[in-house]
Amino acid sequence: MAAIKVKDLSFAYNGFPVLGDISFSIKEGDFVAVIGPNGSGKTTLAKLLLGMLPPQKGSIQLFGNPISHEQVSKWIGYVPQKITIDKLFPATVDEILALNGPLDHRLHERLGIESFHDKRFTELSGGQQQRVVIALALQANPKILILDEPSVGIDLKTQREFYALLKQLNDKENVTIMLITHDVGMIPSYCKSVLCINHQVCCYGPASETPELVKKTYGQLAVMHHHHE
Amino acid sequence: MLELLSYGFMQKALLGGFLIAFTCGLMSPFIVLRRLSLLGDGIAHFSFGGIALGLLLGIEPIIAALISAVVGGFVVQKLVKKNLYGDAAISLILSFGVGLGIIVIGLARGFNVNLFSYLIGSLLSLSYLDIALAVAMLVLIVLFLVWGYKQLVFSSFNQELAELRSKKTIFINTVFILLVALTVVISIRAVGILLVSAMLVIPTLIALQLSKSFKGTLVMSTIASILATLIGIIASYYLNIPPSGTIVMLLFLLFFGAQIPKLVRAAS
Repeated sequence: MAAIKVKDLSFAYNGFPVLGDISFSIKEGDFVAVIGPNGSGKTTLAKLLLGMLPPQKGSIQLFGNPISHEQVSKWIGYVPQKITIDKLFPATVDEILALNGPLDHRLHERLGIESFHDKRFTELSGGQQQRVVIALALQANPKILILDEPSVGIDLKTQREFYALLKQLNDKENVTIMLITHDVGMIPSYCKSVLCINHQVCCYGPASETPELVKKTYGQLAVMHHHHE
Repeated sequence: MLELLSYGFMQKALLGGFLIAFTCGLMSPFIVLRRLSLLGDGIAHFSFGGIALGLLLGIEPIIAALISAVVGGFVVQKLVKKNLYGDAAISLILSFGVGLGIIVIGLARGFNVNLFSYLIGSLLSLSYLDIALAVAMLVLIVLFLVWGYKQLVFSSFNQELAELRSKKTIFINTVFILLVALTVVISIRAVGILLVSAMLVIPTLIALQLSKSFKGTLVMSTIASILATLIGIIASYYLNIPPSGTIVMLLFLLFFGAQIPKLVRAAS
């Protein structure tokens, strides 16, 4: 079954087209990397899927149902690019996690955040904060996880741990993952599919074909550096 | 002490001060952490115009302040939605209120003394209407926090994620602005327009030094606000100085006192 089905979707900011007639379908349990140059419409696509922007043309379906706020809040977990939070913000990790449903200690253990549950969120490192934000998104047991360049500003080691964690969530929990990223090198090692966007769907294929798809999207000069699990 | 409590005006000042401090202490963390510290100042100064106009037209000043504060709060919200900078929008309404107030003072001489009490606060002359409004305000805010606490904290943490989680976030934020405006009005009675920011901001600045959790900050902010207000009223009586200034000085003292545990930790 398609977790996300997008048909003839278009969106323009002040008359400037960002997405034109895009159609694709992401099956349940897939781990899709969404790639494309800056300004190609990736974040706009995420915002449309999250209901933050209304589609100007076309349709979006989640598990066969037309998109609604109730479904998005129930089925989709979202990890934004970077949580910009004041360094004085007084909230413990547990307080933040409790904002999105009852505390799931099993989930926290799996994400490796159990040990700092009573620490102030702002005292954590960037990688630890990102884990908490993922836990926050997963706290309500979503079926789909949308992440918008979540590894920006995180060191390489933490990035790899983070991707491995996503892969584990996808493999073991069958969470459908849509990861917007510029880090094309990680795709063959962690993702199942790759969707290339540049105002329209340029290509959509298995992650193993990433080098060819990257060339199609970014041009012949694109060079891929592989990550290894 | 007993002598002090035998005066009706002191009983009203302590009761009213307690209620107002309680309300400000509860609202303060949400105001500060949403970066709305200056909003209170803007609304208060905007109300100055409203109060002056009310005195000129014979409308009960507190009612005029209530109306103008709500209008001021929503005007700021609307201007920010229209992509005006938040601080610029606050500055705009602040200037308008003060400008209007000055014109009205110029037009109608005679109530300057009355108006002055709104500038510097007048806890010692609280009326039963003020007390009734302070009770209503506290009840309203406690009910609001019980109902919308989670969404308020969530949207203070991250507005985007909070809106995704619940549709009622936008509504809660609108009600919050309304309640900030009303809190400003009742704070004007305690410390006056010129010092209203102190009641809305300093309690949280104190709490942030002492607590690492949101709930702890809320509790500490409320305790600091109540302590400074009650001790301030009593001290002002014995020292024969204005209570509003005394309360603010005590809040400052508590703020500096709250740094001590941190300094001790750093030294050890």
